[in-house]
Amino acid sequence: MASIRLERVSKTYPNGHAALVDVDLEVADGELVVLVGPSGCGKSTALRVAAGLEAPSAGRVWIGGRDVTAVAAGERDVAMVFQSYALYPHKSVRQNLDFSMRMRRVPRAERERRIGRVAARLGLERILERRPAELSGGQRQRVALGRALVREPQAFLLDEPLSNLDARLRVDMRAELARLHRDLAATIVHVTHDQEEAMTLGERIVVLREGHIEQVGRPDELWRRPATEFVADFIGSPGMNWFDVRVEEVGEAVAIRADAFELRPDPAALAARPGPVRLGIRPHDLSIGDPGTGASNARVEVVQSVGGTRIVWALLEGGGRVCALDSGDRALASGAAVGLAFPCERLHLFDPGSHRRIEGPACIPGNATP
Amino acid sequence: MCLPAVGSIATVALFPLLWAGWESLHVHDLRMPWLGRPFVGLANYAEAIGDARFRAALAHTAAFAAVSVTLELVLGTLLAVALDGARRGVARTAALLPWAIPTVVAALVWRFLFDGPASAANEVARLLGLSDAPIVWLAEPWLAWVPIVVADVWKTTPFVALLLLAALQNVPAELVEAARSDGAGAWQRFWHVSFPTLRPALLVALLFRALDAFRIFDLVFVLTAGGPGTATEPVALYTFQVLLRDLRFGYGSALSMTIFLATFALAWLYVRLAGSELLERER
Amino acid sequence: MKRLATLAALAAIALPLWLAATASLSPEARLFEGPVWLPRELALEHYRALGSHGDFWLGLRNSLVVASLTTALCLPIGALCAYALARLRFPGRAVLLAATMATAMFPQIAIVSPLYLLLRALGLVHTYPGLVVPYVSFALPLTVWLLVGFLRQLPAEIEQAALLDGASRWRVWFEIVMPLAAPALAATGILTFLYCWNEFLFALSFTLGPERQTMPVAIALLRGQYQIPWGTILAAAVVSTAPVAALVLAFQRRITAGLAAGAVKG
Repeated sequence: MASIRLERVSKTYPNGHAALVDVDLEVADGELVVLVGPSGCGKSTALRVAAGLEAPSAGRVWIGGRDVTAVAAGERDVAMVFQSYALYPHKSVRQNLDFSMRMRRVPRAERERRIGRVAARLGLERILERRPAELSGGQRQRVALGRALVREPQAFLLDEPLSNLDARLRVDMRAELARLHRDLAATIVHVTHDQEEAMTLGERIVVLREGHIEQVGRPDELWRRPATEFVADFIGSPGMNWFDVRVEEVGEAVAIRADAFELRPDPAALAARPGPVRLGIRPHDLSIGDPGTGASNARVEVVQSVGGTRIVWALLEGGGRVCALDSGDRALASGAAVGLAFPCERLHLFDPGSHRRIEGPACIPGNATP
Repeated sequence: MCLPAVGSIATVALFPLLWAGWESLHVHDLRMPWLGRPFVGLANYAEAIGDARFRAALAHTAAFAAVSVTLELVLGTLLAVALDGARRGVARTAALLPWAIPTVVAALVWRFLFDGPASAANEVARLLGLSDAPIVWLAEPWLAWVPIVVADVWKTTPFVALLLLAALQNVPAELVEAARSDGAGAWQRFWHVSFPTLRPALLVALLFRALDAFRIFDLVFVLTAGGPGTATEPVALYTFQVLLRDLRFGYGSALSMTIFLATFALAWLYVRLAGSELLERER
Repeated sequence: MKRLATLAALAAIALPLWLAATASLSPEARLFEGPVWLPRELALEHYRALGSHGDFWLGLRNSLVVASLTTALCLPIGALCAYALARLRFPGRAVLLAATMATAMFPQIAIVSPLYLLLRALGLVHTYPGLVVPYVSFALPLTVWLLVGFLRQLPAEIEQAALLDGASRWRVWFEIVMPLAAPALAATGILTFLYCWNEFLFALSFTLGPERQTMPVAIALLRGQYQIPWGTILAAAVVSTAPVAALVLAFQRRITAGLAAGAVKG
């Protein structure tokens, strides 16, 4: 297995569209990195540049410590699984698996052996002689994966390999990918637009937006300390609750004021200066209690049950809609009055101009509820 | 990868064209080889302008193109509209048959129908009350054009219809239905809904048919041989005579170049006027 | 109303052919009485007479040879060029495509004389290559256009997967793209064959006699002793057209798909 490095890579198309802007990215040997972001963020482009299917406008590509920027795709010894699978329609599954090895002149015995192994691993034994058109979506996906596995490459590049599967299969295949990663100690770069997939799969996640890297980090880092407003909003479902608030000095203390509530964090920990600020708090972090407890009162609008949890949408007294997750047993009907607590250490503050994270806030020691 | 194709085309198409251009500036008469090949500048072109037969041929060709193409586009559109919705196989078969038949064979068939021992055309004329006496179509300068136009229209209209049909089938059915429920009559539905989608295809058809009509040769050669006399002689046929019968290569080249420049100008003008629409079709 | 119009149109299209066919199957004397709307008696005398016109059969043979050779050459050359134009990026690509298309708009008459002189200089007048080479050159634009249109629609990812697998561009063309292009190749092949079968001007100009003249020329020059032998001519028309018509009808769906993709002139 090999490491992959995109060194200050930019890619601008002839029509002026800048798909990647000064992207610097490193995947360690044997690491599973997920590139995630909305459509058009450049994640697929980054993958294709790594594969050699696109040449970067600027920057270099390194694979296994070797500068492969000028090396053709076929010589880079990386395998790619395309979103559309890109199976050879006129060849059987076996021939699909066989193709790359034939191109490398792998002797027949070895080819047979590898096909046998991969087919067993992915459950393809019974469909080896079929053509792609005769296969289900899930089977095709496994053949695409098999085609990559059979090559025993230095690294795997997966371009939204699970996006075309139905929900149940997707979850199953995620686990399968994780198992493969563990068994092969493979270097994998996985591209997806689904933040949940990114969070469950990745050892490290790279969040991209409009060709720029917003943040790189482990899932828990992205969750607890999103570096930008975009990352905070993108990661997590249901998404972040947002409020436009003001930070004000009240004597020695500091207040965060919104129309619907006021919070008193620890002034020593907060790095914000007085002024307008974007406040985010996750539905997962809000606590629902009786009216009067917590920073704000609210009236329940809609309650959606998902398994053992409830998604509660409520209207704050003073204005603003909020979403909270609740795993409790209290009765919550539409119209019920509740109190919402905003734990200070779970607040995310962002500068309205730069959209970057402001450090802090934390609760005043000894004062759990704000 | 392109080399063989490009090489072939360059040799057989471009190179001779340039040669023809060069030739047109010389006197080169294969019947009189002792004259050599003196350079005479634009003298051949001057002769062409003064050549009454050539001017007549140009007039014939232009008139033929205008009439024929108009008929083909109009009838083609009507046919396309009529075939829209008919069973695919039938429509396609009918449309492809005249197109698949070699022009020479079609010309012979039509000549038979007009000028054969018992002319079907005369039968029709008689039934329609147009004339009692048998008409000798190919003997009258004006009448001789009729079989030519009829044959050309018969041969290409179905093909034009097929092209337009392909475009017609891109008209969103909901749009037509909406128009119908809005109370639009058949003509209005056609004009406001179908026609705009049809326009680009029509323009493409117009270009190609016009170019083809301008180059007409096979049909006339077999049907009338340009006759009676030279009454139905198009430019291509006249040039052919000059080149391969009179063996006047210099003069013939000048005529050829004139034709080439005319078609080129036509295409260029056309692309300028309708170009943006054509390019959009390309996408 | 539409139904009626459709029927009328189809009748108008089929009628001339029908009349020609029935005439070819009617005895000579019958031809003078009037158009044969419905044949009362069938006679094969014209077809038998055709048997003695050796020129015609030579013409058929020559057409077959020339058309086959041209198609066999045109397809690989055109497919190669089309692939390069569709997938590879190189300077002058757009110009090349435009120039290729432009040659399709040439008035052939403009080329006839220099081409004749060229062929004469190479000793190729009245030979098979003397026809095949010009035909290939003029069939290529159509081939290239149709194939480029088709190739552009093939998902590029399949070829990219092959490249990643270590295949060279040539291998990709040969083992991946061409098999997938089979339907388009078939349609293009048929169109090329038809073009050669139909071509008249070059065949007339570049051959000197029945030994190498193709079918259209042979038919056009079919002359009787004293008058035009219509019966024989029509029989020849039927014989030369029937196989081609059958071919077209058998592949009509392919052909229309191919033409619709490129929307080309007839």
